[in-house]
Amino acid sequence: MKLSGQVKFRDIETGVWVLVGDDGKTYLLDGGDRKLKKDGLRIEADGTVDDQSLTSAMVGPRFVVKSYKSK
Amino acid sequence: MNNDAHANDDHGHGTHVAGTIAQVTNNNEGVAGVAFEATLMPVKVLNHFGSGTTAAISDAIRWAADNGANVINMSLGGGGRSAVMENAVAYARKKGVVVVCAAGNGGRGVVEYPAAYPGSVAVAAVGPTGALAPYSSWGKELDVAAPGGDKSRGVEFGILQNTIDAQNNAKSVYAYFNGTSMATPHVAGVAALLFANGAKTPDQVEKALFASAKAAPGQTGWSDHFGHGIIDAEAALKAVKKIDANGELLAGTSKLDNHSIPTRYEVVQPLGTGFFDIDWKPFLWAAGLLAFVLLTLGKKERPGYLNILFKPGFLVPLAITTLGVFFARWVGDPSSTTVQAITLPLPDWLQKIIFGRGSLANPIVYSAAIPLVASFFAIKWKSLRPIIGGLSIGFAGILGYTIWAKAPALAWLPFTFLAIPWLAFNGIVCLFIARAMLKKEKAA
Repeated sequence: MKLSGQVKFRDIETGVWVLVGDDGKTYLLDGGDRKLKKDGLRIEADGTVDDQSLTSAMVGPRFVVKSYKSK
Repeated sequence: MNNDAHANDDHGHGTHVAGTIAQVTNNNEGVAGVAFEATLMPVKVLNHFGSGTTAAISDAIRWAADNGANVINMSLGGGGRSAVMENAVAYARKKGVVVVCAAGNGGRGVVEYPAAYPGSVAVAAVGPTGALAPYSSWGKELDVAAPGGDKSRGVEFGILQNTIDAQNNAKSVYAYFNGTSMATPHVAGVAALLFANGAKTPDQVEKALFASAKAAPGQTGWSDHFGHGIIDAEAALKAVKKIDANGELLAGTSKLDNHSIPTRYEVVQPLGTGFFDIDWKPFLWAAGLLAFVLLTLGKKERPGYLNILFKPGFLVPLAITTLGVFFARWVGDPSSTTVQAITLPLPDWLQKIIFGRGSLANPIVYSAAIPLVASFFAIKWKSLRPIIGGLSIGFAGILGYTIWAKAPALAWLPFTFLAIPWLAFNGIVCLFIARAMLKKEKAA
């Protein structure tokens, strides 16, 4: 699944990286590489949405990034 | 998790949460725990990234319940509704376990699972001022609020606990975290204290917790932002002493007015299908107001009873407005959510469909707006008049009934005392519309 949006660091729980999607939803970021972790970075990413897992972050479904490019 | 026999933390979140419950306290070192003599039963269900599956967590809930846990703290959430997990929570509660869960950090009006399951105590987070923390989720399943920190005001406004360093698991650090995860163990800790001080059942623990909760700033009754209020450990311990032999709280223990507290179980109970399971009161209000409207009309203007009032064109909108699609309970499945929604009076189900679960009543829905807009159409199409007359009388009945039943909290209105004049004014407008709709035109 392709998603675009902005990478954000949220200081919640132990600190979490989220993708604020252009679809209006917030995803818990997973996968990708270290360069993805840049607050404010706009990306277009391909990956899978996992809305089954439960997390300690509780900010939204996990989005496991397979590949991405920054815009 | 990790397929090993120990539950050592490799993430840093769980140890922090556990510290809030039962940190070694009064040792002149570091920080304190709420129930520092409690025994912890760490069960690892999340991986080193802090995520886990419904199946593993459900297993863990049952395992903890079978192995003598009194309180289960779940500072986790997400995923969809799962029957497996819902049953696990119900199982634990039946075995006498208080299940305490975080409402979620989405900052929106949706309580995450497992907090949203019946039988679980759902906890929202408040910051240092007692206001809802900006990240905290809220909704109609909420039970209580507790301190979860608010680092948007500065790091020192987080919750400080001793844990392992997230980047180097061998290192011990004191870390400020904030989240509904941090609020949850405050409640679990107090629940443990209540068990240690005379509470025998989860019912008693929850009653004492909820009755003793203190109002958040501006809170006047049960609210979808704070539930019963912010937990108060000392007051909860006093409240638990006031539980009588039948497990009921003695009168006068509760700090908040309880009349508006929704019961968590009403949602899953199927509708009653008897004649008296229908709530006739709004309809009776409407009927009374209809009689009043008819009395204000002169003899020549009064509609004929048979040609308007007993026609389906008038009665059906009146019934749907005040009783909902009441016969759906006999036609459809009384436990389905659709049937439960449409058997509510019209404004209530519009409210549910448009604004979703858990939102406060919208003052526009509970006003004369809908009959008023509808009446414009009747200027041109006269045959619509009985229908809109029924609708308006129905709305007047609902608004009148709502005032009589002590007015709900309306959204947007800053003071609840404004709700009654609002409902009264709109009720009168509805009566005027109804009167205009039912009035027989004088023969030209």
